[in-house]
Amino acid sequence: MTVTVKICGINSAEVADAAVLAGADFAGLNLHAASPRRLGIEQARALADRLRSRLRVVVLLCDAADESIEQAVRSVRPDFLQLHGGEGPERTAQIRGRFRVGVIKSIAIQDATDFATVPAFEAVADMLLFDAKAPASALRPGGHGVPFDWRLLRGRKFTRPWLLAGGLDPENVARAIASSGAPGVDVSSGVETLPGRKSVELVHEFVSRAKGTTFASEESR
Amino acid sequence: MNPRRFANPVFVALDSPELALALQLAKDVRPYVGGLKVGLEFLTANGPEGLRRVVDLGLPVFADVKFHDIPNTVAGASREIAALGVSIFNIHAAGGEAMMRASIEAARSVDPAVMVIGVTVLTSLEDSDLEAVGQQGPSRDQAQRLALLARRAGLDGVVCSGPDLEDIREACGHDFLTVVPGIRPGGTAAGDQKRVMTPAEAVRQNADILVIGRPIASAPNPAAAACALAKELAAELT
Repeated sequence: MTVTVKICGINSAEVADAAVLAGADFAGLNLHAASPRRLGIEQARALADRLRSRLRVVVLLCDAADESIEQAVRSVRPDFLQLHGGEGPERTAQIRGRFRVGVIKSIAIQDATDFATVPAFEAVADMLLFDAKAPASALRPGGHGVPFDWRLLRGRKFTRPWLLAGGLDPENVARAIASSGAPGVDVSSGVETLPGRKSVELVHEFVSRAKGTTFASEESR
Repeated sequence: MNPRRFANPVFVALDSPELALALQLAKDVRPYVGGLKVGLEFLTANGPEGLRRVVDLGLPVFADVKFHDIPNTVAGASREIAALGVSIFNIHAAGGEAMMRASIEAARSVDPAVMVIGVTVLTSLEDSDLEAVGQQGPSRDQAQRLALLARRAGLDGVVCSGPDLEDIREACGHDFLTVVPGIRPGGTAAGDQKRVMTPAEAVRQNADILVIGRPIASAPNPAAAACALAKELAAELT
């Protein structure tokens, strides 16, 4: 299977189309207030309508209350909710059951001890996303463009599909896949020229580099 | 207008039961097509090993398996087909909403990106055939009814005939994939009554995937045929 790719923090029709045309598998729409890529609900809805069935639409939320989740699910109709805050396994299960939508749980990794919570999340989430732990001073939990040691993931087996996130860009993504054994990757700031401003060219480059890694044998044919 | 999922909408049908022939055809046309389609004949002859060989070629693969059974059985089969690395597979919408939902959930548990497509009315069925099996025609209405059900169940799109494209788009919207089989370059018609539709026309009507078999596979030079078609469609898409 080729590596799956999620382009996160999509905030314009132009970049949405680029993600589809480049062959990305997931598109992340950010509704988390503290992000420079944050969308209004109407904007998210329009982008989702443009993307739906072309790829999987993911709405990003952090420790959201039921009312905001309800509104996001009803208006945007995502395939997945990405819970990017401190939601525990119980809250994750509750959200998945209550809103009948797929759930991606992001788990912040700094060292090997951070994998302790994984089994509890495997039981309740549809997919996992391993992100770098945010600096202590940070106001939001992701999108800082800082990688963690990808080798921490090497050889680990998970019962759910998972994505590697945190500081990936077109330059390092092939190495990150090789070091971590990740079946999928997530990128946001790594395809931006300024915070919140994504580049169509970088989106294409990232997807082709990520997907290209499994085609190495083909090129040498 | 929604962006196209596949820059090149042509999926070539590898309909041969012979693995070597199918792989050769796939390799020949690989630079000029958007994906590969395998059907029941290929799968029955070559099994999961054969399918894996096709997936390993690196193009998106559409498994035309048309699952139709009780939800549990279809869920199990959907999980297995998704695990083999196909990008798209299909199920019969007539299996009902619960079956469709079970299929999606099971398939996504192994590959969240896999696309599940509904089959509405088989193109071989005339209105009188539908009546004979107790379905309410005309087939065009039944196709639309099942497409709406498929959409409600959360499928990514439906297989639909060229002439039904407009109806389905109107009923289901632009965020629903359409997969159109049996279109012939040059517009050679199968029957006399059926409206003729060329690949370019289907693309103009926003078909997302065109499944093309014999016109490429049986051409004297399949690569040249696929290349010519890709050029024709590229002109249409720009």
